[in-house]
Amino acid sequence: MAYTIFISSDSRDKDLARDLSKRLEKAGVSVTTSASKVDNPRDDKSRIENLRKADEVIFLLTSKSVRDEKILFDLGIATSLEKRLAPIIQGVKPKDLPDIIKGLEYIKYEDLERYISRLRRRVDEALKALAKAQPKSGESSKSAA
Amino acid sequence: MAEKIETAGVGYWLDTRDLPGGGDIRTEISRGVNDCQEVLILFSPYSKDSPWVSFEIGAASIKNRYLTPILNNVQYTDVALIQGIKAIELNDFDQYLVELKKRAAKAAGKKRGASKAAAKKKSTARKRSARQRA
Repeated sequence: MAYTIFISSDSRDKDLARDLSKRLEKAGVSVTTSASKVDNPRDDKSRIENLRKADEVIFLLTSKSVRDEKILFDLGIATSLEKRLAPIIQGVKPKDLPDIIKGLEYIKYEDLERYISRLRRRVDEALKALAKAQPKSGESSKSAA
Repeated sequence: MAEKIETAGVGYWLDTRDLPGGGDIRTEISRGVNDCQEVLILFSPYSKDSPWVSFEIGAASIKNRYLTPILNNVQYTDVALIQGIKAIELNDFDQYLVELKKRAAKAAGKKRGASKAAAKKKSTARKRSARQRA
């Protein structure tokens, strides 16, 4: 199963979200996003399902979206689901981040490659752990016999 | 509100009172929500745009908690995230308490019923094994 990242962003930042999504997919991860036609995120079942399935959740924060209620709603869900949280900021000064984000380790968009290289390592580790957990071919038939 | 809830015989977790010093606030709030059956969110002109309120609605939604927005000088239509949820004006808080007591009594009844059934099952199993031994 592919390592999956959910990107929570404001629709006004869709170009940036698309660029981020492409760069992550290039790194070999599967990406789902909060882009949706449903107005109220509480009623958006696919958004909630995608958050559940994600291995990591990125919060894309710009000057337009730094206090966006839908992104903060997603943060409440992701925290409750104990997901790895990654706020990525662009064009926002760290001092302008709300307290709820300040305590998290955030990444500046210009440092995205550093995040991606660490992500690659996590994906490799996850794949190794998965391979270790799966029985080798023929093993299950042997034990059944 | 908290005092009235306690007087009604229901326990409560209050974010401004029960957050331990030094802990991660996001994790602690999410734990607080997880440990409760219902979540009340007070919307006032000071809190309606607070990032924490949106966060708490998310945490309550994913855990399927019974969520009641309480409005104090805030218009229902001004808060997008609570659309579709029945909100209560602070002046009508007693009405919420009446309903809360009913839900708490029902939950306590279910719990009593479940423990009675478990005790009966245990006693039947004991009698059966005594008969088998005899």
